[in-house]
Amino acid sequence: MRECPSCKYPNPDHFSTCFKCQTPLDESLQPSDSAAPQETILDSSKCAQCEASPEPGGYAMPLCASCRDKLAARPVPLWAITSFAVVLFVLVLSSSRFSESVRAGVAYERGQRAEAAGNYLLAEAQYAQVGEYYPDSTLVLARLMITQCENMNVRGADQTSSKLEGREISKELDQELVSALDHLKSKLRSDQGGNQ
Amino acid sequence: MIPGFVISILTFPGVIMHEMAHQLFCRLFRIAIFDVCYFRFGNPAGYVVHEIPRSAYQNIGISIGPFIVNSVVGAIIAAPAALPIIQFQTGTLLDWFLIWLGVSIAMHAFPSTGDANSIWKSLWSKDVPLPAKLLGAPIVMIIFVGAVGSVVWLDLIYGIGVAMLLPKLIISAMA
Repeated sequence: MRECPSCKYPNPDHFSTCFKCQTPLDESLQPSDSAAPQETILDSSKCAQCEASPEPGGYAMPLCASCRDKLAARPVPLWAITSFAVVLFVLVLSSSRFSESVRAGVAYERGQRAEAAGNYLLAEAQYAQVGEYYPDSTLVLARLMITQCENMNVRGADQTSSKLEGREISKELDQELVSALDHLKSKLRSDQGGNQ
Repeated sequence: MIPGFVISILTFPGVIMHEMAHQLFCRLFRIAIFDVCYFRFGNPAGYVVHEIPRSAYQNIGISIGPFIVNSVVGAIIAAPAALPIIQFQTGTLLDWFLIWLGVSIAMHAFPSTGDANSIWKSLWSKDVPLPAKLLGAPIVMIIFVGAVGSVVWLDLIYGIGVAMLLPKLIISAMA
């Protein structure tokens, strides 16, 4: 037996490279640092593992069918299976939330497009739909309130405003909210003036 | 500069997934595996030692396998969490966990430079027909650039792109 200088695997005497890590047995080289296969120099008339006749079919490594099957189906350790199971569980969890996330995202995008086109009724409906999925989003509440102001939905704007109280809002969004409120107030004033 | 092994530790699920994908493709192509290291504190953080595949296609498949598996799994995991975090700023602890896991997995999609070299060589071997070479060359080139570009954080940029920007693109297309 020839012990591999790199991984200490006991190799048969006729092997010129380590069966396990494929390090040349005569030189001390680093083990493979990637999945890229290494060149091997082996007796092609014997299976490298059990010395039975190797499987035909143009394989570079002389292995019998049974040894190749065994090596190809190398068992995965329990900790790796457990890690994979955790990732699989998270994957299922994520997939179940994905449709909800997409629906909210699409509704928000449509709301923005409607708002840009001046269709505030549609924009308000879309933002309200997003609010069902993300009721704590300051951005969604602010956009909803802006469209409610534009639609003169006073009760709705008042309710949304109370939800926004005490939250940190960006300067830009704050300016938009103030201008929407001013717009609502001026509309209400002009309506009251028209009724008198 | 953050050492590579620190990045590997912080994103260890991606390393494990990468090596498992290599192993999966070896099993699919019935290629003997001599050693597998799913994760270790060193460089490389993981590896799979296998016999030389019979065909260039098998070699390309084994090398590209993690690129496909890690990209898809990373994107699916992070997608539902990306929107609440990026768009609505309402990310919960679970959302941040999903983003970490998704980005960790997706950023290890790129093969190592050794794998990239192996794919490149296989693509230009005799048993790959010309149309496949022409079709595969740009893909392999991107993978090669990604593998080499990890020194300038291209792998992290790719991971963030797959995990966080892809859902935004899907939504823009659907709206």
